[in-house]
Amino acid sequence: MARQDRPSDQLYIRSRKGIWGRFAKLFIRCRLPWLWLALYVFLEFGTLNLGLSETDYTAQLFAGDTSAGLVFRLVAVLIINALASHMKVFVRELVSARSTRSMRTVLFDKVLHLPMTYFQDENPRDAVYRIVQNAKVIDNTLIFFVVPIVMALYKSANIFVRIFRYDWRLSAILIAFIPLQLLMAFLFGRINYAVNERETAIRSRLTERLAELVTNIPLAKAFAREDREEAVGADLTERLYKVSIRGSWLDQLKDLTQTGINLVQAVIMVLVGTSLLRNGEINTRGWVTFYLFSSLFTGAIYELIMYWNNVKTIQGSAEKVADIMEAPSENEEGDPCPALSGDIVLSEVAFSYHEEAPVLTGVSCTFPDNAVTALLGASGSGKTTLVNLLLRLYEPEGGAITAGGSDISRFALAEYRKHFAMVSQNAMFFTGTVRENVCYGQTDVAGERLEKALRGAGAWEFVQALPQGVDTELTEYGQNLSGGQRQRLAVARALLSDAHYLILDEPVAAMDAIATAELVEILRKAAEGRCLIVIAHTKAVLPLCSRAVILSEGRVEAEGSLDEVQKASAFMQAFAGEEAVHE
Amino acid sequence: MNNTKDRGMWKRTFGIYTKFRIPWLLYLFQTGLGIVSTKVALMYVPYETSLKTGNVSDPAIVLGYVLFLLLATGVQIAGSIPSFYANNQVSRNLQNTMIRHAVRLPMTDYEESGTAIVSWITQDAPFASGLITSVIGFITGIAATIMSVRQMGAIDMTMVWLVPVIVIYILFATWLEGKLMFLRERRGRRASSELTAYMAEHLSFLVQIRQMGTHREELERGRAAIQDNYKADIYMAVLTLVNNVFNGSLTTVMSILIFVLGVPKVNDGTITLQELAAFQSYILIAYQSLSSLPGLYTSLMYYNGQLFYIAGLLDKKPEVYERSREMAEVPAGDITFSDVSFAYGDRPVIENASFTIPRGKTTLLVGPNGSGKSTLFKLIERFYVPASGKICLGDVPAEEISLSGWRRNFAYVLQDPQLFDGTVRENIVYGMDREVSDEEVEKAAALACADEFIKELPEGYGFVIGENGSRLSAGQRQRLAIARAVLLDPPCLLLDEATCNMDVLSEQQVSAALRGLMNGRTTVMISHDMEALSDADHVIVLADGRVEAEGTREEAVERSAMLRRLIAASE
Repeated sequence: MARQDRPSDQLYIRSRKGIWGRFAKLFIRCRLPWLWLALYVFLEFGTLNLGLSETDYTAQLFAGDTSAGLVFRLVAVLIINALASHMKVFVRELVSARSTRSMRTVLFDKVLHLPMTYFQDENPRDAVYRIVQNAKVIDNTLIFFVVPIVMALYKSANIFVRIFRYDWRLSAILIAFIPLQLLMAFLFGRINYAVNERETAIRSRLTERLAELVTNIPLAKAFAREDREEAVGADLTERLYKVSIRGSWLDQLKDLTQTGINLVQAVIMVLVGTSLLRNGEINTRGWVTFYLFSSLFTGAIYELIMYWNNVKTIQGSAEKVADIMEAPSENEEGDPCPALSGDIVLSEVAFSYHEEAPVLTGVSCTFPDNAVTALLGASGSGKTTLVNLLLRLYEPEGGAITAGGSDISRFALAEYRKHFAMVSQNAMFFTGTVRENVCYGQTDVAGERLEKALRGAGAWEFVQALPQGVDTELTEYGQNLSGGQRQRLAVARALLSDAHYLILDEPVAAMDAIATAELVEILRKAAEGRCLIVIAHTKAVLPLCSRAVILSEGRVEAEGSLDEVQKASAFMQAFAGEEAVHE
Repeated sequence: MNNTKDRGMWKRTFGIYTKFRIPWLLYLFQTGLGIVSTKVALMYVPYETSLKTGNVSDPAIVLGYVLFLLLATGVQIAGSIPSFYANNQVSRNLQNTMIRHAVRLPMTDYEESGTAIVSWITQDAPFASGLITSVIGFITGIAATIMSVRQMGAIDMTMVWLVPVIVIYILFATWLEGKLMFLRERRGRRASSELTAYMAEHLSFLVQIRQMGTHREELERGRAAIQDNYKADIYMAVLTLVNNVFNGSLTTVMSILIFVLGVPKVNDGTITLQELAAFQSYILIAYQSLSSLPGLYTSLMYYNGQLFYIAGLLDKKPEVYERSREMAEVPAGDITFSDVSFAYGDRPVIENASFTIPRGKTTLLVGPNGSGKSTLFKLIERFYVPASGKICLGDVPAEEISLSGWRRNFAYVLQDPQLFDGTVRENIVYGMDREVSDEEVEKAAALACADEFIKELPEGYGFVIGENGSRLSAGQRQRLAIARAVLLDPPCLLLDEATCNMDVLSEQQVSAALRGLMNGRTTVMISHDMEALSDADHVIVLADGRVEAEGTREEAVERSAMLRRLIAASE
């Protein structure tokens, strides 16, 4: 399939440029727990300041102030800080849970409203991961990026101001080392990235070959080449070993450089500081405070670098979420349509999923009210597409579709679709009771109405025989029912919906002759006063139909009563003659 | 009962450490450096506290500080070098042992585990070093605790009672953490798998939701599922809070105790301020080493799980290759099956099969899908061992003949040729246990009608064919497999649907190549193509795992209703 007209592709290209703008949009779309967030930030600042006071008091203590008052203050600060830190973590998790919930809801809502064109190349199930995992992007951004960076900046500035007060010369040494630290972090980040990339590539290639070797063991046995494979394997593991060792040495070098810088910085400071202290240019308390704070300062700078590195991971999932959020939704606006009935008329309807391969090229036909029309045609002739257009899952590129004389495109989407019910082999069944599944899409269904619908669909007997009747739980995808049973429940759901237009997609598939006859009888009753369209793959349902529309390569080959069509269409002759048309 | 089972499991897991070489010397070195590192850290404390309390009058202190800082960093870095060498060696050695073992496993074991073996070798094996590291961490942790407690005792014995209190508290806190984290993980996993399952189920019906126009219902239900997940998040946050209060407060409590108990002692002159600061540093080192100790149990549990499958793999018995007779000693003859039965688990596949594969002739094996033809091939190759019955070469029972020799006697050409991602040449010479000249390779390729297309490839015989030969066409792949068989020149050939799924031209080329190969060899072929009957000297008809008929073409057609049906259906 060509990917050029997929909306998300265009977005993807755009995303390379303005990731920050897209970030901001995500924040606006998702309702943030502002109050809790404010509390969290407050606690962050609080614990930070408490931590600084803690260091301050400890410094005073070690500088010789052993008064009871100071010890009392220090102990108080220690206790409050510990409690506040625990609260902070709790509030942080709360913020995280709340923003994730909000983002997930917004995303789920969005996915439900995306036009079908969005899912042409992508299975809707792929959206699951985005909703479950990538939705955490908001709180990841807050918790692992924005807030920590702000905090680290605040912390380093705050500490710097404090130590600057004690001695500017020592502070100058600290500041002088920042560019060096940043430079080394940057350089090693780059080298590490490049080397890592290469090593990862080598590693995964070796791992792949190892995997191939294992999958080829039957070959080795067939040719009695076990020794050779063992030798090849040993060679591969040896190379993997060497790559890993090289990687570890690089890590060592990085550690060595980083500790080297810290070491040089510490040594210079200690030498300068102690000589200042000995000369009496600073007092003991000044020195002690400075000594304790300087390590905090270096720590804060490293935190800043570390959090900045998180941005890559966050960007990845933000892009995926933004792709969905920015895709245009279905247009749901339109005239209300409380009631809809009358013939469905297609005139010169054209449609293609991709420009180079048109599916419908000018289809004109009528599905009259109060009649059952069979929609026939070889596989790929456009039957499903035609139904999708009726349901407005896609919009025709040319021509018009009317129902009861009104152009269907003018109605509000959700209301319009309520007038249609679909029975197909892949009808929706989900984990829940029979009642929930059958009444899906309806509100307040009385027991009698449900019973009537189930009886009408020939499902009452088997549902009664289930352990808890209509309250029996269905497992995932309704797998605890047979295909025929699910089919009848789908019919019951359609009957219950009171939709005027029923579309049946091969309703008797996988049913034996007796069951087919029963269902045809049920459907015949249901057809009274409705408009039915039956997509048929076998002739078993033909007795139900009075008319037929034959599609062939995107055009109408024949249309009319069954007899007329039988005369006009070669496809119909083959179809009615043979037991089944092989798709 | 449960206990003995547990013990068996532990024994099995730890058993893997006896099956490959462990670099004990490196680990010993790592342990030593770990202890030295703590020692240096403890010796560094007095200098650090001097600086911390502003006691820098003596330049020797400053010098000592700088030296010990350098030494501590040096030891720490040096300590990690033997560790990464040792860990990577463990992983490499274990992988080699696993590969050696895996290639010699009976085919039935291999098929059972399938490609999972790949991840055991590539992903699980590197975990093996973790267990050793945990044990080393435990040993160095104990050493560090003892050393730091002795240092504390040197300063002030009256406060050393703090240590047993800490030990008891840590045991309690670790137990609590285990409980809480278990509850937390369980709820978290369940919530996230429930949400994933919900989303997967409902989003797979997106088209149907569209058709029914039930967005609003879906949104409501989805919101409820998301809300459930949110509740689980909150539950987890509360558990984390409880855990943090108990596990995260100990350092604070310790600091408070030291200040409250220690400052009066400073004031009455029992200890100096510097000693108090040192005491604080020592107790932190002791705390860190102590709190790492209960981790051993957790990591034992963890690695027991990680290494479970490796232990299982290494426990399986490999095939016995050496048998009482070498293939060369056994005179050539017919291969006979007498009353051979075989089952996959409890599903019988071959039942009491008796037949003969005449030497130097072409035998055709026919039968509908699932009748057991490919299983028979695997029995002929001795990939499977018959559950009962006997396979003989001439008069000699197959089980007495060396396995490698037996298998080298056959060349196998399958419907889907087994090629690997290497050059054309590498694939052709696969199976040869000697150096092969280019001339020989080209001659084999020519006999297999493959030399022309190979020469047209970008790098000729050096062309890399991609995984499973994906860069070649089906016909080309098959001719490569035939060239391999030609070069191998075995007395027997097994052809399993060798020309299936090919267009007419490729089929003709491959058939021509095969005819050259079959000439004069014992050949057994499986084919759905009834035209193959005309090539066959001998026919065996298989139905539902039983031999329905055996004999010449005419005899087989006469005796087997199944064969007549198959012939009729193909016309």
